[in-house]
Amino acid sequence: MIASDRQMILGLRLGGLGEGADLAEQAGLDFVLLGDPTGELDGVVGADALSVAAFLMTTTRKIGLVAGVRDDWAPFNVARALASFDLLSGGRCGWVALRASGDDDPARSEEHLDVVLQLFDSWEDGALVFDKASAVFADRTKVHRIRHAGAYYTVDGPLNAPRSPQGRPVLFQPIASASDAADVVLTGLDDLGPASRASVPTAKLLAEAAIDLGADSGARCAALADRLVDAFAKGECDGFVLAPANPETDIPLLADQLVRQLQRGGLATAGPGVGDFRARLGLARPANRFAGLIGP
Amino acid sequence: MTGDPAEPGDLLHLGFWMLTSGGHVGSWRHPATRPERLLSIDHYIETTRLAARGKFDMVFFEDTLAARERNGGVFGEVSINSLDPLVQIAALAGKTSDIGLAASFSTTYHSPRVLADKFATIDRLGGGRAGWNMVTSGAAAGRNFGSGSHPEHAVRYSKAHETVDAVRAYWASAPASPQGQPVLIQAGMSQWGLDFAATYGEAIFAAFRDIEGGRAFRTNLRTLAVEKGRPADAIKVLPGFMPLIGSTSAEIADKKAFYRALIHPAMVRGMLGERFNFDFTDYDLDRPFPLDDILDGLEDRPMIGGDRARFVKEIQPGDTIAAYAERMALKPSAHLTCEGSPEDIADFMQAWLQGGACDGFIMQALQIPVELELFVDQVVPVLQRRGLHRRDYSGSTLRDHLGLRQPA
Repeated sequence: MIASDRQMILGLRLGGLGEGADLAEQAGLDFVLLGDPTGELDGVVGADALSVAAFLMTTTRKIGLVAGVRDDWAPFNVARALASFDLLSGGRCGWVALRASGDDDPARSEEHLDVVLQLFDSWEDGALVFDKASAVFADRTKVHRIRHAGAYYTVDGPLNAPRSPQGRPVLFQPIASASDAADVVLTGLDDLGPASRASVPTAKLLAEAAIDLGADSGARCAALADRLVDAFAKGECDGFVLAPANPETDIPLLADQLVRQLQRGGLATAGPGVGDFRARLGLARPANRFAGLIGP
Repeated sequence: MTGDPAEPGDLLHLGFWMLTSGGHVGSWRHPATRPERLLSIDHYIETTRLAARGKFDMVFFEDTLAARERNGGVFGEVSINSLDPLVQIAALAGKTSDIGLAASFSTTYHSPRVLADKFATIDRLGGGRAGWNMVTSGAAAGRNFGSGSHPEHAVRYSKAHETVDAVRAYWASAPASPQGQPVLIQAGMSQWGLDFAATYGEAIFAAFRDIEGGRAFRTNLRTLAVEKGRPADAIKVLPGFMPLIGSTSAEIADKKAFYRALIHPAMVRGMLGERFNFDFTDYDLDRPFPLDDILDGLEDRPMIGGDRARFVKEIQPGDTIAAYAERMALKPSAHLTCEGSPEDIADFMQAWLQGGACDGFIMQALQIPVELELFVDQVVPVLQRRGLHRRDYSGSTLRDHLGLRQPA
């Protein structure tokens, strides 16, 4: 049966300008995810997932905020934006590292991610001192250059933002391009099984469930709840990302019916947890690779 | 008639320059500053709401793409002021209303698509309140974006033209916000910058020494705009400005001494270290300036933090370190300052506006929130009584506040 210490992680994919995030928070979901798998919002010019997620930082209170970020934005920009987001929001930031469409060079994407992760560590915990009397805002011995010189990127660092509350924002990756650094791996509901579970030994594995409730919403919610509970109980995954086809009508129904059915099974979270997004997902705070190194 | 002074009834346009703890380098050490809050969105929400209480047109964020450094490490004696400004204005859009939200973002280190998407999104999220200050970025950014070499001035502006054209083309095909498109703001007073401003700029963040300089610049810019087929009043000129408000001369003297004391000797050494890429930590500030010691370090990254060779020429024979630092600190800021009572400050602003030298100001406060609150509570009512500043917002978008038309 279901181990009592396992908690189903539940997120909701949003489009547009993030409409529905408030309902997701009220329903007790763990996070909302902005941006489709290409990193665009509804494929529309003039829509940026990270900006919408940042907006939701002040219109919601606790729920985790995850934005798709494509790697055709320089690693320094990506790291700074996400660290800023995590700092300003008090540890609510997650991101999906997405490969830019039309770029088939995985080595470049891997190097991009590596640089971003190095930059997240360029300030050690405790680097901010705030000592007014001796005029030490930051301890410069705890801030380090990354001195990265790779095949695709040359980045000296350090980042111009300190280490963020979660150590680094929660890293989501699609299963096809997942790395060892992933905190959360995303796959499709129909792709669950022993093979995908075995390929993700340490990260949380979440299955994306496309949802189109239509007219007979009650029956569809019940059937879907059964399927999700079954997959979770078998240990095929650690939770789900609900992806409604018609957000305007489906999200209220999901929040009202599906989430309640899952919660009645004692599976989904009952409401906003304590601590930051990482703690809420049951993830440990990552160590800093530069900790203890003296000097820049 | 492009050099026309403001008509009677023309209002000041005010931007508030959002620096973490304030415009004074020692402001993070001010007793009212809680440094740990400078990294929380709540601090920026409260400050933006305070500026909105003073009916400012907008808050304005600057941007840097490298950590501030002194001699080989971060400049740990000064406040961080470099969180992503777009993350900040996107978050502010959710918890503020009316006031415009403007941020600097680089034309050199972001693609047109990234720029277009981000500003268009934030403009829609805020109901038409976004402004983009188009910057080409400082030299220090280069080492975080590739080979370490920052493109030359002309190359950066040539790229900026291409980038802004492409951004505007994207915007034309994107869903419009209530103000049509984000307001284009520009800083930079070189010839390249002037041509760019006359072509694209709707608000110009400028630095002037005196009212004549402001009038000459504004007249010239308006003439150039007309030559490019734009109305003269399609561009608002907003010099940087930082007031020091005190009701008596004694109060002003006390306040100046108080702020001077916030500049700890370690910060003086740090500023010299930033300038000369040399560690002054163990140097007595009263000893002769160690010119021979610093020369080696100047070759390494000669352009970071300014042109070091030029600074070396400013060192006079017989200077102590302290004497040089004092001169450095007293050198007039690139932006305007004014000391005095609320009436004096209002006189100053009125003279610039009605002298045709500006359309308003981008204002810094020595400390946030103390000095901003003082301005809002004491200077704003004087400006309102004189009919120079709105008593309430008459529109809901940044374009409305600045009196700018929607792009065709």
